[in-house]
Amino acid sequence: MGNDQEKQQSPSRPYPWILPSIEDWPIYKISQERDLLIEQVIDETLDHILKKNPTEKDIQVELAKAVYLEKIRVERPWKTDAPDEKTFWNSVKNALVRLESHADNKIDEEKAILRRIIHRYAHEIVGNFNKGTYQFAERFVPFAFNRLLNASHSRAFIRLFGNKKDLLKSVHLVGEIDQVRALAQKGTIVVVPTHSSNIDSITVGWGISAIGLPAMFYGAGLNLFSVRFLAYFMNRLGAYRVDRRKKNAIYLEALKTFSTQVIAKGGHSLFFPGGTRSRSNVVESQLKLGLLGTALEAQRRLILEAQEKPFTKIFVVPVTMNYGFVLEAKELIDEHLKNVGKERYFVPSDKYSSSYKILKFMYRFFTADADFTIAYGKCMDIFGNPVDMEGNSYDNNGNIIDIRDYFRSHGQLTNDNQRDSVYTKMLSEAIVVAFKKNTVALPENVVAFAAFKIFQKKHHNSDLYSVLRMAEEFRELDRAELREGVKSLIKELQRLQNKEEIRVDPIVLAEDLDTLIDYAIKKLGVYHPKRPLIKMRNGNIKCQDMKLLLFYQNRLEGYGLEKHV
Amino acid sequence: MSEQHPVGVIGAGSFGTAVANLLAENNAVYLYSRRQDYVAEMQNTRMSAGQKLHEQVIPTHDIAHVARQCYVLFPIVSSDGFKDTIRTMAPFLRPDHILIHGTKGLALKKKGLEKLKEKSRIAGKNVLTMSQLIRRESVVVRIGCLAGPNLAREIASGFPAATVIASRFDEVIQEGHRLLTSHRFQVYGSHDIVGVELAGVLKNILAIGSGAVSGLGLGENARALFITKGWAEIIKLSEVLGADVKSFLGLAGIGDIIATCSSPASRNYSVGYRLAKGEKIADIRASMDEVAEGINTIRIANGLANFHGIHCPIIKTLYQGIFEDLNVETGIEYLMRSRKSMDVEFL
Repeated sequence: MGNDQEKQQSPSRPYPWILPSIEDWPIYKISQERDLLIEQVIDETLDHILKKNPTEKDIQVELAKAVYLEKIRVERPWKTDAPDEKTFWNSVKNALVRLESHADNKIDEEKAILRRIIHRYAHEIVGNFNKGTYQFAERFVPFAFNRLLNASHSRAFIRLFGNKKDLLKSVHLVGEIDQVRALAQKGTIVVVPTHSSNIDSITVGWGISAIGLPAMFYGAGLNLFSVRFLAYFMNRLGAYRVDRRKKNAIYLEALKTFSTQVIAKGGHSLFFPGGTRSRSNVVESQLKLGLLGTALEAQRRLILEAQEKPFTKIFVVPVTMNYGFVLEAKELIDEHLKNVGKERYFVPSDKYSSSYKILKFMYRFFTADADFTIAYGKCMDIFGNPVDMEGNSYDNNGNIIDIRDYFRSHGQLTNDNQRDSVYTKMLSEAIVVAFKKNTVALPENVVAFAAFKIFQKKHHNSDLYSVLRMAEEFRELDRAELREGVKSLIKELQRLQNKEEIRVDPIVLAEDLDTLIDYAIKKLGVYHPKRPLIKMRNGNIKCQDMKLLLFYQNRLEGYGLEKHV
Repeated sequence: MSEQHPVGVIGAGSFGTAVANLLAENNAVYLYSRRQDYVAEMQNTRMSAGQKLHEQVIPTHDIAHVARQCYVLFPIVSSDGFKDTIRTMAPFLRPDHILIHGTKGLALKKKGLEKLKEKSRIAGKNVLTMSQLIRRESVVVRIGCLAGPNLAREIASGFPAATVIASRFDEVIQEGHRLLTSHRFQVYGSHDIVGVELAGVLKNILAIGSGAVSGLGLGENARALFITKGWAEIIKLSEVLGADVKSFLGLAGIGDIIATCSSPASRNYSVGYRLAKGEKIADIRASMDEVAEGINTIRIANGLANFHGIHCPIIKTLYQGIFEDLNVETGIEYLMRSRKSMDVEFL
């Protein structure tokens, strides 16, 4: 795309910091008052829950539900869980039982129990930001990665990017980087990336710092904290803990309150709106509305406080993480296929839970020489409208919008939770569209897509599962056939890219077809025990793992491309 | 607070005028027409579409003024002119406007309606309801629709009636309720705006068919068969477009069907009736003051059924009857071919 940027000024820092001094970073300032923040989160959460549950009976029901769910959860503890979990929830339960036998006014005691629970959750959620650790990580991470990359250099990998490798050459940053940088100085930004791999937590953080943005409040899955060395950094880099196992209303309220508070205080934030890694590798189309809603609530608060005076604007930055290689692909696609058609409750696992495993994982990732692109989409306001470099919002007809109007009724700024919930859905719809537009079609995806669709067409009478279980002798592709498929696919991709409906990796468009196919086959799932595609002696292509092929081709689903293979 | 703000009705056809008069019982109302001469006529005669205008109704030609003065607007124009109307208004609209439309039609994102043939295929994602069109063409998000058994003539005569206001926003439903409710008019709410819109739109197909059944003198059993089975086709089509089946059981669904499929007062019904009596569609269209929405709707429904592979013999037969000069006997024979299927398959 025309305004894409791939700046490579200095090897470790292509973009200067927008705020050179860490003391000026919002996350630093907010973290200086961590205790106050926690107190505010507790008070506000309590307040919200009491408003939603006006009677004594309501509170009792809410508490009972929380205790019930938490008692089930603590039966299968994770390493990150506090050692006194069982004791705590037993004591809460006992306190509730004691209250049952009281006949008179229990509301104060119920409130006290509620407060105890919120207090525990708030302390668990809120992370910290440590300047020293950040500076160390900032220097150490690229250094370590570069060492890893250069250590692997002696291996005979095909390279298209020249010999000297560093992190920046292996990771491509494309998209509206200048706009993101500009708006991070004009307002508060909320970065919402797609989620494919466990490694996203590291790469996205790196991607943020590489474009010169300060560290962000970042909602990280609790399972990541189980890796001790990661936890050390994450605890100090602004990560806050999101525990997907806790589905009770009290926890969710505390989490949302915290997020709203930091965004409203000007803390740039990041969370994965898909909630979990995309199992099928299809770009997320259903987003979790909870944390997205906090960005909206923060904006409403800022506007209602400012009334007609200037207010801080919140900008949403959709980001796509595009990997030609996902280490846990096999496990993800298996889970996906198992769950298709069944609305089964999915128990998240805490795999990759040791430092060794995650280090090995990272090492493999960065030495695998896989393509990896972070694409920054056009920024939008909290309602999904496009914004310019100044942060002005525009409607479909190119007129500037005063976003305060969204919160007005009959000319007055008002508070309407139901209205906000619809706005949040609108925002999530806009993010889904942006994800699709900013997905990068990598050589691996393109070739996998063409190959899979050819298999499917040859067996058009079979359903997906039969195609996946095809016997080996049917899993061979004529090279000329694949070349034709890839050729017409690229033509359509180019057309879509011209309409800004997708991004296409430059290699896809630059290389001649045979080079491209060989390149993709070589790279496709380079570290999987069984590569999805291999070249045969006679020049034909064979698929060794249909499920993995499906995984990598899925990235290009939803664009109507199947008609073009 | 809001009582001070006037309400706007965009479009002074028979239903627009009836709604303006209903609204005028509680508020000052601007009644907009794009035709300046018609506005002058309304001002002089205090009549519009055969109805006497309430004293609180102010006819106007100034869309900018209406948009600036009113927070709530009711666009009630034919679906043919709907897009142009919204485009004319768009520069004056803001996110704090509420638009509640009363138009029973569909629009296409790409192709023009005229290009549609019997075998044309239309994907659901390329069909827009009027609320989706408003969203696409303007900055307004608080959008609602008005649907139900609301024959304009009966409302104008002051007969009791009820309507559904559907919107994703409670605020819109509440506003509609506050503005329209009176001793002779009840307002119900729904969050399924797409379902309510589609029920209101697609039932016009059956109104045409029902008129044809009457015109042919086939009797009430045939009419009931036709409506019930046609309704099942419509529900299947609507599900593809994201509607909730429940809406088809409410006022905008069954309610509207009962009113339109048995009333010679309905424009769509009379189209079917006259077709059955041997008139040509072009002549019927030329003789009507206002558009019978059902004619265009049949084209779109037919294209949708083709694309999504939904078996819709009733819609197909109607399409052929209107656009392909299918003779009546063949049509009936086609419909009466025995089908070994279960009665209710859509729930």
